[in-house]
Amino acid sequence: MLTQLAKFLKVLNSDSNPGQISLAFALGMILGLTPLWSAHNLIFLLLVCIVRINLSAFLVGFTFFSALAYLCDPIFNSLGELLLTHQALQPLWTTLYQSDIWRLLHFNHTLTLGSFVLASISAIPVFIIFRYLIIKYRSHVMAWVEKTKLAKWLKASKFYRLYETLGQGGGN
Amino acid sequence: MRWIRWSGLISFLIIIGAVLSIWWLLAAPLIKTSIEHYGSEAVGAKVNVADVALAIQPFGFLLHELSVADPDQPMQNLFEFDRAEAKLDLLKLLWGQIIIDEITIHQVQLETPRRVSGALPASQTKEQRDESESKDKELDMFDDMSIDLPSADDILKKEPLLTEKRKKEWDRLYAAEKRKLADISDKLPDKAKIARYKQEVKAITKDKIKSLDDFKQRQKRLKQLKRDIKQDRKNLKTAKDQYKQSYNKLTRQLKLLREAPGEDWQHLKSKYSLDEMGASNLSRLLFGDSVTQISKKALYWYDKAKPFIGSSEDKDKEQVPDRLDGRYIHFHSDDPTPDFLIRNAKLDLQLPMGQFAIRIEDITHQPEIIGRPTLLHLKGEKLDKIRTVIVEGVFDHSNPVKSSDNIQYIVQGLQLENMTISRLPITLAAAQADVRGDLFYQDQIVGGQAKAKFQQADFVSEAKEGLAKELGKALDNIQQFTLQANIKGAMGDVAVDIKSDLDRQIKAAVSKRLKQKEKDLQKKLKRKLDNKLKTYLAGNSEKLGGLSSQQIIMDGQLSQLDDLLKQKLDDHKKQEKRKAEDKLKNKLREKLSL
Repeated sequence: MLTQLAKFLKVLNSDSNPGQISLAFALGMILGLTPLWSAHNLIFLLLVCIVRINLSAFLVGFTFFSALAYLCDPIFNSLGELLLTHQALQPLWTTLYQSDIWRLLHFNHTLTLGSFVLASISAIPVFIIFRYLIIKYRSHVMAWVEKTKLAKWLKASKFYRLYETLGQGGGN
Repeated sequence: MRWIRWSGLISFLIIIGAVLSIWWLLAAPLIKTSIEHYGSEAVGAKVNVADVALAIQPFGFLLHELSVADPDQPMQNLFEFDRAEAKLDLLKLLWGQIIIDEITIHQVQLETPRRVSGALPASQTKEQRDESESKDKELDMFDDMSIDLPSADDILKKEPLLTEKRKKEWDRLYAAEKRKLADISDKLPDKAKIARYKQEVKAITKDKIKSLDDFKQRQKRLKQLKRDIKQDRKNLKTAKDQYKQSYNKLTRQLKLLREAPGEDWQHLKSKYSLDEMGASNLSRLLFGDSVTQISKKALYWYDKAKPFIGSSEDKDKEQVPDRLDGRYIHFHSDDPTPDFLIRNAKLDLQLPMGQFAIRIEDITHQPEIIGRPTLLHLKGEKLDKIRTVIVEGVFDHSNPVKSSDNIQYIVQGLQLENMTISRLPITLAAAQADVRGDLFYQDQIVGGQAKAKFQQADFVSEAKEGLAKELGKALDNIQQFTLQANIKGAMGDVAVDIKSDLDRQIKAAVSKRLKQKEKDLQKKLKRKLDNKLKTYLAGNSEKLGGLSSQQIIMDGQLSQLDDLLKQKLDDHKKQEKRKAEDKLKNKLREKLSL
């Protein structure tokens, strides 16, 4: 995990495309927040593999949001329960229920549906905000951080040596 | 910058391939561990599986040597089987549902010995304790089938007696009436008051009237006095009526109390005599233990099987959603499928008496989704000492509000040998029986009946004296008889009723002995009831006598007051006229004498 974090910081401080980093983070969020062994995650895993995104950012995002999911599961579950039992949506769910593909996606599972809906809705704002923050970070904060005492102390640490080593290996 | 890297497709396939390979390698051990872990938790004793293997075509799994220990007897298995082959619906599995199209279980054996204990560490859970307590209760319940008639003291202690009830009613009525009479008594005139009335009336009516004014004065006083007397008379009359009413009520109640021991006696006599209880007890004495044991065994296995056929309690538990796991919500479908379903299970059950073929359809914990009951078909033929056994079961929980279980069974050509049928030293050395019956469970009530026809019966008695000897002698000549057993009650508190034409056949033979016993008991009972009545009646007749004499006193008082009210004051003119007449009469008498 420390390696991934170091790689992620290296990417953050490099010239890598902020769009690739923030998209990786958003996809990591979807996989992290929804139950891992769900069929829809196959599609997102395929996206992670074939779209040119930053894998370190994806892994950091996935790990972070997987941990966050433990706290948010009750909310996801309630949302899924609410949607699946909502009277107005019954015709929709009944139609989807007749389809093998939708059943395969476990849309009728409260936690899967709740987490997927919330993660999908959040993915676009997370992508935009994160991309904006990376750009701002690089133009305003990065130079200032490097001058601080904390950064100097960090540069002398083992973590920084790891960071440097990986940096030579190159990112994605 | 290009956003797509097609080489990633290879990475994706490698990842999927790796995941599937790992899953395939780990699935079998995981299934084995899950069955052992969750099975042990559910049963409360060790569940062991020797090996699990997965099959691709058709998709399914193979279980080897599964054994489930008996939580009550850890050195024994509830059941074990040699091999089970299951075909799973892969698509449904990907949907998150375990649908077993067919499972064939070979060589199922019940109650087999274990080499190592099947007890879990600290396995004496609360649930198990409750279960064993309820079993103890069951045993106690069946211990009621005593060979002896109960003692007179026991009967009087146990039976709700009418005598005691009526005594209490009498006490309550007497207290209430006494209160009413006490309230009235305060307003009644006493002896002194009546004497005073007499004196006053005499003074007004008998003394000489001096003038017209005096006359008027006296008339006024007499009027006032009569008003007071009338009021007292009214009070006395009301009191007398109340006394009469109370007397009648108490007399009626006392009559009922006197009759109560007689009624109690008739009731107890019929209840604790050969006519009612005694007759049915003969077959109960003989077959009670056997029928009880068989019923207990049947209910024990039913109780064990209940969790697998979807009870309403399980549904209640299931409806509480697990927040972290989530739950599947099912919608209308032409082919509704629950989360777990075994469409068809085939078992070959190996018992000491032979092999039984069992087929169970639609095993699920969500029967309301499929809308069909679980069906059980069991058949055993050419068994050791049994010609045929057929069991048909319908476990219908498809409507959660009105669930019911029903089992019908037929046993034909059952050869009985040296069967100890009761605690009496009488054995059924040989007989052939056909049994037909049913069992049901609905609304928390378990019930059922069995009709058995015994032929070529040969009873052997080793008893040298007493009732058992008489019974043994009577049974010697009996070769054919029928037995009907009914059970009904809440699970763990089931009442067994046994009827048989044996009662009629052996009643005469044993009645002499039992009659003597019954006579002694009845004599004691009557004596005790009579003693009870004597104690209860002590003092009550005196109380009623007191009320009666009080009424006689009141009659006298009323008569005195009536006499006083009849007293009148003569007219003043009449009094003067009478005086003049008296005077004239006196003068005339003087002249005539001259």
